[in-house]
Amino acid sequence: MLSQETSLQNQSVDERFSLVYEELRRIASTLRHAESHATILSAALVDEAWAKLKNSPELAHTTTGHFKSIAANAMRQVLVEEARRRNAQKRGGGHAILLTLDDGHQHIVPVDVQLIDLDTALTELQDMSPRQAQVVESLFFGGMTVSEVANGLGVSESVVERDWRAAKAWLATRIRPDKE
Amino acid sequence: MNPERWERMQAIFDAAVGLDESERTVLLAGVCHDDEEMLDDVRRMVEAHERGDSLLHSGLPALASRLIDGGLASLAGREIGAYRLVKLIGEGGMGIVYRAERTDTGKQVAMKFLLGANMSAARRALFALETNMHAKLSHPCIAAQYDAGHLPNGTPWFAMEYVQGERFLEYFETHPCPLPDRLRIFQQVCGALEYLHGKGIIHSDLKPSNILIDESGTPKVLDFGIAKEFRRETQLLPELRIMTRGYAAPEWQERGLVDRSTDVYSMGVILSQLVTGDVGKTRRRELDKICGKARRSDPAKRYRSVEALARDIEHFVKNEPLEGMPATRWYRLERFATRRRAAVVAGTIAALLFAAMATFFTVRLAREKNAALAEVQRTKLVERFLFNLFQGGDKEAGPATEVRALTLIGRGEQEAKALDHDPQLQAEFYGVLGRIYQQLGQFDKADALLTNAVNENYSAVSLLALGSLRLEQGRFDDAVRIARKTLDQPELGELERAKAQSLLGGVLNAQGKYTDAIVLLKQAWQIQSAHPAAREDLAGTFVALSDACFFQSRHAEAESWMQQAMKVHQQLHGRNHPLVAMDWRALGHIQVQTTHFLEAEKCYRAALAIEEGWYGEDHPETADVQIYVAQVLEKEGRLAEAEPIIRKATEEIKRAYPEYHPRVALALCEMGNFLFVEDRFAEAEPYYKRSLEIYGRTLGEDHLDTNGIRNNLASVYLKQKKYAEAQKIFEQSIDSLERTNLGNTLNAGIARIKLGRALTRQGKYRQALVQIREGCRIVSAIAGPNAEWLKAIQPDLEMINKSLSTKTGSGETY
Repeated sequence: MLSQETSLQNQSVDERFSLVYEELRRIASTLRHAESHATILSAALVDEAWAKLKNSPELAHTTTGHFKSIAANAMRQVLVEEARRRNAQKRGGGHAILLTLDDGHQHIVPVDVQLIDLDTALTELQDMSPRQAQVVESLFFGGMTVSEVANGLGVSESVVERDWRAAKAWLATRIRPDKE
Repeated sequence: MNPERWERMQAIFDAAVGLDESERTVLLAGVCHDDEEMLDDVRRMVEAHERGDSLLHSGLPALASRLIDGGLASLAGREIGAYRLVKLIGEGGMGIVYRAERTDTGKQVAMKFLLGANMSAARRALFALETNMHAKLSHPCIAAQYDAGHLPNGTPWFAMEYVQGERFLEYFETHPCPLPDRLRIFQQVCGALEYLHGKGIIHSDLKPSNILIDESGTPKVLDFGIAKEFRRETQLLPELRIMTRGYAAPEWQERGLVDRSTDVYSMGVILSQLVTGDVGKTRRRELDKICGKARRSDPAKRYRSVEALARDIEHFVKNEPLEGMPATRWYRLERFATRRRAAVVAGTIAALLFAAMATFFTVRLAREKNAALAEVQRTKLVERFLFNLFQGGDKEAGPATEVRALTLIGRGEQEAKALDHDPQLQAEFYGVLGRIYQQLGQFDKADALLTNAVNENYSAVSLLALGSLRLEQGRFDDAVRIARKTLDQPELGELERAKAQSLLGGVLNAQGKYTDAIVLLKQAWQIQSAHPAAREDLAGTFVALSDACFFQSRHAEAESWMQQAMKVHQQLHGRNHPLVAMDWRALGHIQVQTTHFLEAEKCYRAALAIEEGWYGEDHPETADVQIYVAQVLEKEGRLAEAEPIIRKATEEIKRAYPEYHPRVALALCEMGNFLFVEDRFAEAEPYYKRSLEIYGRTLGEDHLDTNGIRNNLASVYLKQKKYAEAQKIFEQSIDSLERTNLGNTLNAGIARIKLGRALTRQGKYRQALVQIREGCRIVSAIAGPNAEWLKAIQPDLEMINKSLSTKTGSGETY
């Protein structure tokens, strides 16, 4: 994902990533409890993680922008993991990926399934256009702004907008729709 | 997919996105002409882009909150307030819904929780508002609220009526129902919305998933997720504008403006999705107009209220074209004079009014002592009435829409209300209007007005108008009663006597008592031909006389009467009037019966020319005559010409009417007939079957026409040697005719004869003989001893006699 990294730095990237990932995971898990119904604003979450981690040695030479793109990726992983976990919980026995509700006759494709679809499609997108996948990750999961992303990638904002628009549309066709 | 292909796809997408639908289609077709998959993919991308409702568009916060907070799934079994949660049944933009039950009674409820309440004071306030409002609402189509509260952590909830049902549009997939019924349900939803609006609440998030239809077919509006209190212009913060793109009005989406018409817009979208399947061209256009008006982007141009929308739908529903005519293989009855024509031209309304007015004023004139004074009064009254009637209306020449025609008459009703000072006159006006409604096929309205007229003014005129309506409604006993009552009136005017006799004659015709009918009708004729004021009535009497003779196979007389009818109609209305076309048709039928096919063709084509001129070509009303033309061409052996005509006409009819409609059944029957006479029995069978199904469902199992088609179906079974099936159907038909007191009609007689044949072929000789004897008795009583049927049955009788005399009582089946 971080296409400009040199192999020399790869190792520390992994370390950095693990750190961020762990922190986000921890935060996310606190929200899993039934009592707490706070809505996650990804930016807030990432800010919280950044505040926690910015002084740690591993991230010494990381810019905020860079951190955020790491965090974006981490965030994606955290959420997808959560989704898989939930989905696996539900499965026990039946095949119903599609949650057909016999009572209210309200057919909903649950969000965890949709998120997994998104993740799969995003991985595909990575093969087709790494830059675009990065754009999606940063904008959507990382809560970054268009200009931040443009800066980080070294392209103009309109390139980022166009990338985002097309990627959004294509990814949307790969996600099972909510049956509204 | 490889990167190059993806690049290409994106480039096309980028270009396509800015274009409108038609330009886009052209572009895509041009660019992707060699690659259908690409075309498809890009198109789907564009759709996704326009819909804008995917996970990615909603944003991470929404997704994450659903994901994380969905941990509430673990709440099942938990007790909250007086309830116990059972199962998560839905996730929405603002919260989640559980099915729950009362811990004491077990009563099922739905419990809704608002998530993220801690985050936003605005949201919480909104929810509180919603809860508050909901408690005061009480309407059969709105889910009731029972209770509300807070979780320990502050999450608000409320408990409401648990509605088990299917979502609005899906319901119709599992419960097929014809358009009028669907529209009725739609109207009920409108009623709920009117109620809400009356209380100052705008739903603002209407969509099919928010409207459930329960097992009893009652719609229930749910989830006023963001129902707003009614204000002139409300600005809702962007993050609170949770709406479903497709259904949300543009001013709501873009500027957060909410008003009653916001709901109108959503209902318009839902309505356009409601109407699928076969609706005729004309009907479709009308519906499109209604939908279009509900969905205007400019709220000022929309319906002002849900009520206005519901009213237009009412108009549409009530305007259903009426049932067609009965026709079986061996008889056709064109109802005389009062032909139902919903698409009557405005000009014709004026003409009808004038004619009707003239009639009743003339009648009234006879009662006035001071003729001169009456004359002045009359002219003034009529003038004023008509002036007010047409004032402010669009006086365009040419066909008015059904809506406009009815609006005009409705206005007439209003005008008549102003005649309270003269109840007798008023009642007479009502009578006039009632008759016009009848002409237009608006039987309910006609019924109301004419009954009213009779109650207000128990006069012969009113009674007769009502009686004629009853005849057309098929309520023969009522018609007879009314006619008799009229004849009992003291000081009955001559013309009224004649009309009553004519009415009775019409009933007798319909009941198959042709000889009696003729006697009465001739008496009526004598009187009417002497009165210049009774020309229209006279024409009607001529038609009835013609019918009566026709069914007695007295064709020459039938022709002569019908020609006289046409002469009067032409004098009164000109040569190109639908009534004249009707007479041409009837003449055509007579020619067919006497095997003068070329003559018949001329008559039918004359009728067709008039009707096409009147309604326009390709109008479903002309399908009737097209079918007759086809039938006669078939008789002339010009099959190749005939078949396409009848197929086309049948399709026209199927398109113009709802699936279950007598007119469609009739068309299918005629198609069956066509195939039958060509000995294509196996092809004819499904048409008859379907036709029977439709007749049974719409007119009822015992209706004359249903029985008519039964006989057709049974006949085709006979021809295919499916004797047992034929027997069953003939028996059904005879039972039905007996049940409705029509056991002595021509149809019943023929049915028995044919049943006899079916029995004979199965070797059930004794039974066969019984049926044949009875059938012959009936037929010869009506049609004379030389009727075709009696000749046809000879071979069967011979066979039976032979079998019965050779067999000696053993092994016979019954």
